Amino acid sequence: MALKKVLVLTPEYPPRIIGDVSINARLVSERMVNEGILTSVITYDDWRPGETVEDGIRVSRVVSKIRTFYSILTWTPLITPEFVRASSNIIRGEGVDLVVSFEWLTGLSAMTIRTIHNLPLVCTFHSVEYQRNPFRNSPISQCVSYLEREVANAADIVAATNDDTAKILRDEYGISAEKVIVTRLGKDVRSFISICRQVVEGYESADA
Amino acid sequence: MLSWEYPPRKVGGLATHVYELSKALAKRVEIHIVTCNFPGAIELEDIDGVVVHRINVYSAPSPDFLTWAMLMNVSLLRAGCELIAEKRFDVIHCHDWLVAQACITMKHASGMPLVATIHSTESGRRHGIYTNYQRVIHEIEGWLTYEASRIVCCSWSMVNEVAGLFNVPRDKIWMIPNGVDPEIYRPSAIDRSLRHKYAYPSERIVFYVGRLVPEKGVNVLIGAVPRILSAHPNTKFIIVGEGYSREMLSSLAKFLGVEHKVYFTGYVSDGEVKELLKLADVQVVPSIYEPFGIACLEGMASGIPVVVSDTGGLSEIVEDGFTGLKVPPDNSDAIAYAVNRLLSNSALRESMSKRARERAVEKFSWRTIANLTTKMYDSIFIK
Repeated sequence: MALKKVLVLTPEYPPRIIGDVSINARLVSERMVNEGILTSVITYDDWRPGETVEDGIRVSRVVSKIRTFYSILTWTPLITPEFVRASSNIIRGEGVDLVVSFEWLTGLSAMTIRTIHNLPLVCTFHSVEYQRNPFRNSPISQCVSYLEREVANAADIVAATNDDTAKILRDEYGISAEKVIVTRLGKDVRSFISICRQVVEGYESADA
Repeated sequence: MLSWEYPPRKVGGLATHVYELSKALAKRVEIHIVTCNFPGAIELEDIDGVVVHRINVYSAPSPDFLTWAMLMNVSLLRAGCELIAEKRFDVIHCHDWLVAQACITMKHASGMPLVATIHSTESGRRHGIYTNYQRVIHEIEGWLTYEASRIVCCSWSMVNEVAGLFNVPRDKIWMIPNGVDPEIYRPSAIDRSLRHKYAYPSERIVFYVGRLVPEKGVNVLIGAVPRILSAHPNTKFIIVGEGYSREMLSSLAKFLGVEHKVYFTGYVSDGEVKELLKLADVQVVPSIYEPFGIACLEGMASGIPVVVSDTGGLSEIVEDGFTGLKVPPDNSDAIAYAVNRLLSNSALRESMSKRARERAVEKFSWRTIANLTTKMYDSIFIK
């Protein structure tokens, strides 16, 4: 069976732009819609909570129920239930064939959905903590790396957007080389979607 | 059922509560506990019909307790989801904010109803919310009460506290008290050699068991020691438990010149606590904040006359002058007066002990608690 319905989880999505993740999540979603795939995006946005349809893409923006910010390591797990709630509503409603998650921030939600709803999961990494933080031995940095590793291990395919990130995922994080691919999301969205289609087909045949 | 502590991992009364409740419930329903691992404990085992899944939660180094708690939730969530994926369950039961994130996520992922037992609140423990750290915990507690179909509180005082703090509709809160196993605490002959370890044969024993943290009011008990000693010089005070206030409490005893009469045992095993209870002439529960007061109930079940602060759940467990003596919280003079009254009157001690044991057995057996809990579960599904 072909990929018909996709669920995209991303910590940022236009108009909320922090970095490349937001733009690339939008590019992937646009391309998916253009290829006839029903695309639902779930993202975090404190200023625009609710559901809209933007250029054929259904976008649900969730907010954290915990309004006090303590640290990124508490914020991320605490917003996970909201991502999972919005995702599960869509999955139980019209169904989903594949989950695409951007970065570790939404990876925790994606891992939960994958396990409970038995769906294939593709996770993208634009960078990893190992690259971002020069103090990579600090407890916070080690925690982030730990979570990135957990997310990457749970995914069926780990899509790094550059060679360096792919190398670190393989060599430092110990992610199986067969499932780490490099896909330049900003330039070549089509090949990423082609990989997504293969994952769904492979997952279904493995399940059967 | 998710809980961050389960025997042998014990931090406070939560582990005992979850252990005893799940054991009693297992006679009626299939029950799985997802909890943190503990050195030497088996990862997956069946304890009295309860399937216990102990999950490794120490893989990531954490900069502080709140972060550790969140990462613990990530691990428990993964294990819980794997369990839900392979087996059908009817209800998720969450014990306290520490596992709220995992439980709420599992609720949304699976569509199962959520039950939350709120054993205490951050606001109650800290006498208010003053820092962002406390505010996050307070908000998680509020969120848990919002997401839960049913909330269980262990006393009417906690019902009022939770309803007031979080604006929870009263009809979704169930008051189900903590319980005690009357057989375990059945009064029996004392261990003389154990008594020799702690007190001279001529000495009376005043007993405290619990965490050594400010909300437990152990400083108030130590403040009462000089007045008790002036009336009953042959009295020893045994303080059982650990906590970050221990140094301060030792210093206080020294400052009052009573350090030779106050014995801090540190952590002792459950078995030894039961034996120590039998040695006591009076048990004091001097809490400033106490949602329930399981230590008091264990004392009553052991047939020990109790002196308790008239606060929280303690006010509801003890009938003043009948099954124990109540004193205003944070009042050393009142504790001294009540303890002296009991030490001076053996007939009063005996009658109170007898009635305390009867009340503990009649009202707080785990069978009764499990009955109420099953009714509460059923109420979710009855339209």
